[in-house]
Amino acid sequence: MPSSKLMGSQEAVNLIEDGMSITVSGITFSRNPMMLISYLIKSGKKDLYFIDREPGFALDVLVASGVISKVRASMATFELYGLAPSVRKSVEEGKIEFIEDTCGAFVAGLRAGAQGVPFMPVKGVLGSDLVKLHEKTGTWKVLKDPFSNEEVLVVKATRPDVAIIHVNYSDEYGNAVIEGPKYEDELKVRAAKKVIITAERIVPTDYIRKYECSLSATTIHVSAVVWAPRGAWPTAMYNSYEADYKAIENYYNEAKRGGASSWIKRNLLNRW
Amino acid sequence: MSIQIKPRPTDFMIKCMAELINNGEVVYHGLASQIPVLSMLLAREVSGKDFIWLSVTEAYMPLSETVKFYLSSGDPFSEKYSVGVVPTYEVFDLAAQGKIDLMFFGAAQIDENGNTNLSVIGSYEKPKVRLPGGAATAYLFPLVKKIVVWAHHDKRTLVRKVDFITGQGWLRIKNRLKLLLCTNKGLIEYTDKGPLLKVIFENEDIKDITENADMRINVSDELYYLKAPNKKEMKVIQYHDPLGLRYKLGYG
Repeated sequence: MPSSKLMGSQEAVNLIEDGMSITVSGITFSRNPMMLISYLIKSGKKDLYFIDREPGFALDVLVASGVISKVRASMATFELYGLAPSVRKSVEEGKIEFIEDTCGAFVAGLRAGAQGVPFMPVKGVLGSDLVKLHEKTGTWKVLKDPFSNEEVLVVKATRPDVAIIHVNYSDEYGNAVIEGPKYEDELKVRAAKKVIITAERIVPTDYIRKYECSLSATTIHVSAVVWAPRGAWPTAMYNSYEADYKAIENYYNEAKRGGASSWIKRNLLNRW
Repeated sequence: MSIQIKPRPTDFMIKCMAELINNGEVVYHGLASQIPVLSMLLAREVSGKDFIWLSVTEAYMPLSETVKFYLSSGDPFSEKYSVGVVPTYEVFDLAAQGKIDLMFFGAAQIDENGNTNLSVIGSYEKPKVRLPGGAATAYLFPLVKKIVVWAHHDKRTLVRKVDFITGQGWLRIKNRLKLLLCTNKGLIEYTDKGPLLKVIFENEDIKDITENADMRINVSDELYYLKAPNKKEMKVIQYHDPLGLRYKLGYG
């Protein structure tokens, strides 16, 4: 095994540079890598391009903190609470650009990135106004299928500069396991140029060896491993802890009143 | 002694959508979809419908008695004792092969051509309201065999023409794929002659339904009244959502 990739949060955040594209693990209120996001906010990075399928909490706090200048997502929602408050406000005020994606096409882009091919055809999608939008941004094109001669949508490979993935456990080398729902996080690991694993538990390699399970990430993919116990709070961590909906609701209400930064400082930046 | 809850329009919607689930179908629900989740539960537990349960939680065939109403319908703890994990992107692959029978979608606007909007109110570049985004809508609309949209029954939602086509209903109508709209007053089916009111909830009024929509709605010759959920149905809905969080969605 190569050398250990275990490091502190600050050192891991240094892998991210201004202007880079990032993606994170989880969906709305589940398995967001909140500890590292807290360090990312504190680092003062800016102009990041956030790419994800169905983000919620992590995206909103990053936008509220002025870290993000562009978002590409299929849906950004606070579900029953309402629209993602800071994302909505920032888009409507023209402070950030929002490129709406759609799930199947988003996954196709990641698959192309993971497979090292330039683009990926995808079914569906044609006939939606999203097509015009992506043709303008250069992320999708409508081509003729060379076999059937019918129209087909192709998605340009998505290769985020950095993926921050929160997992249940990892060894110090980045051989990591996600338990329960995986969403498209394993594709993110394989498509990204650099991967930061944040793990609830750091375990010996022999612990992983014992189960011989399918690995969500291997040391081949990973640049950094950070120990992050309860590192997804207030979002849920399958097999470990439930989402703290009270905290999420408090954030939502404060953000709606223009107090997102104050909540973030008190609850995230002071915690980590 | 349990408290008797009087059925409200939200409960009618749950019952109405539950009746659209058939034996043997492969059914998927996404995020912010608590009403469809309750419909799936009702179909399973009261009608004994035997269908494949897939969802954004990635829990494949969870035990329905363990499913609880969470503030996120993607919460990994909301659907328990599943047979295993089926990642959402695999569901998208199944859909591309025509193997997903039914999916439910929300809409901030839906128009006469069945197009839905979950993207923006106003122009895309300078939106008056930035909506959450359609998630899988644009991808799945042309692929899933039967789509049920649920929405508020008012002029702001049921429009003649959407501001932005997120879900390409026009293509479903062209390709003769089933597209249904369940509001908090009744059920509308899209036909090549436009939206057709097929089911009206007990105590609702046809005139009220057609007048409270900007889209033009025809009334089916075979229109029928949906009875209120009975005690057994209400008991099941209440068991899974004991705090009545479903009423916070604004459907009455």
